[in-house]
Amino acid sequence: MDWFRKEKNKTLGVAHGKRRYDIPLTQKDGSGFLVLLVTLMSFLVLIITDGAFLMSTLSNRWQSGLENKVTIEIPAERNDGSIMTPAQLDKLGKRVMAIIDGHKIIKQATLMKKEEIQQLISPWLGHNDTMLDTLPFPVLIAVELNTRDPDALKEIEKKINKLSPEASLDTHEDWLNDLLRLTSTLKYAAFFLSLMILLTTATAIAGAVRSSMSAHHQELELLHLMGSTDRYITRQFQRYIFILTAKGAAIASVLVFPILGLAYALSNKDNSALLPSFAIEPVYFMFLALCPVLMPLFSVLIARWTVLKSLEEMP
Amino acid sequence: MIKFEHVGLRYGIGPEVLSDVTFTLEPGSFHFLSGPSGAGKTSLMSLLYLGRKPTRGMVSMFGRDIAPLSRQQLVPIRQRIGVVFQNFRLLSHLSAFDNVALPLRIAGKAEKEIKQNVKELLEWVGLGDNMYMLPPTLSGGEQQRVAIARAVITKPRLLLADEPTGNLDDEIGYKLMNLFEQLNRMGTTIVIASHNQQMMERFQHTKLVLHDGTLSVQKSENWVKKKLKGVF
Repeated sequence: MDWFRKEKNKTLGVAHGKRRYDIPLTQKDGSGFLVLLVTLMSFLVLIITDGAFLMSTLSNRWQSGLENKVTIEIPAERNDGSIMTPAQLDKLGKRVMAIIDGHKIIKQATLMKKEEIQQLISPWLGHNDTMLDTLPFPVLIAVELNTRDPDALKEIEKKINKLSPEASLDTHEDWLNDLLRLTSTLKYAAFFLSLMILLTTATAIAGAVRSSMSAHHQELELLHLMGSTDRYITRQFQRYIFILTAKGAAIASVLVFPILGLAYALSNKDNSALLPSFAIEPVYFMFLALCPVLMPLFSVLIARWTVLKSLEEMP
Repeated sequence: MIKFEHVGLRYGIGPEVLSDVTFTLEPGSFHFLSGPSGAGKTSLMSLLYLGRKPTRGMVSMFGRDIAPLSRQQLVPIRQRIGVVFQNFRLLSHLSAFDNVALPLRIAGKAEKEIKQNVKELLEWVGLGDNMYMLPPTLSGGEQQRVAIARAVITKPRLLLADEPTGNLDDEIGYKLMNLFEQLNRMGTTIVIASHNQQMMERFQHTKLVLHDGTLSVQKSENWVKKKLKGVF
């Protein structure tokens, strides 16, 4: 019935509904384009931000997971090229265990079994038992520390090297630092990309506002001659842009959910030893919920600045 | 109240369309602005409603020289001026009611007050039944009445009208002239640009006559009587 009343009024030339804008902003406009643009830009920002949050979670997990852990490795091959027998390696492992056991900085030390080592290298060599049985496996001791004391670690390494010059104490620092540098770079790249997207959005909004002002120059001039202030005119553009961009940002927030769901499903399907399972931080959900408010507020600021600047050019 | 001294106006690098125009509009005075087409009436009106600034000379409005005023400082001056444009300049997406309500909304009046005043005025100009119609669906005369209602709704101190009775039949034309006279008696200064000799003879007011961009003033009997009575 409401539709019928509107159509009838339109035919009769009667104004329907409440007056929304003194400037006919909803006529001859490109509002569809602006909504689409904000939807795409918000969507990209949300995906990139999610990536940045994930990177941050990963680096935190790596740091906290490996902070107090070291690994002692005694390779099966001696420096002279000869290969130690499993019995020799087993004996050597036990002697190293005797050195480190009871040391004040050691919380726990575990001599890894052959099966455990096989499992560790299985992602690269597969589960071919016949081949794995013939390989000379090193001795690996997983050590958990009470505190990370570099001097005490050096002292332990020295003692181990007296037993076996080939033995090494791996603090994981080298590869962990590389990974942390990589994640940090990716985080900065995500931040930079988000910034570029916001700048592009701002430019597009400013362009849309300017073109709308140019299309409605006659009406703007009339309002000016009637004594309207710049604020009065600006408020109308702000409201118009807020509504359009809120629509776009809300659509983007809804569209992000299936993508997150897909990422979640994929990450849990293939359980990687290196990558933790995909989990969305509560802070990201907060960001997702705030996007339909933050994006329009940002757009309103851009629209306000553009309108005020353009009005300065009027007599 | 309004003073033009040796005012000149040119568009770009073209010749002067107004040259050495000097006159004073006393508060509460009533003037007709006449002259042949192309004499500069619309240009002079645009200077009066602050649509543009003169290229030379001095314009003073309500006791203030407008030359040094910023855009924001011109706002309160513009709010004291009501304008009826020759082509009406109604906003086609707004109803007659909203067009007339516009100056009140700009001035920040309350919606209740706006509703009451606008309805009253639209009924008075004979548009009570058409107040929610959009301008394109109104006749020329009805649009003109909406434009006049919009110009007078704020009871401006200066009312400028460019051919306000041009599209109206005699009866409504005289009714509107009576409205202008009523406003004038309440203290509004009125300037009406017109070609209508019959009307100018019927309503005896001072004539500002433009010819080739220069202005001459023809005082009316009415003006002399008012001056003697000390109205100005």
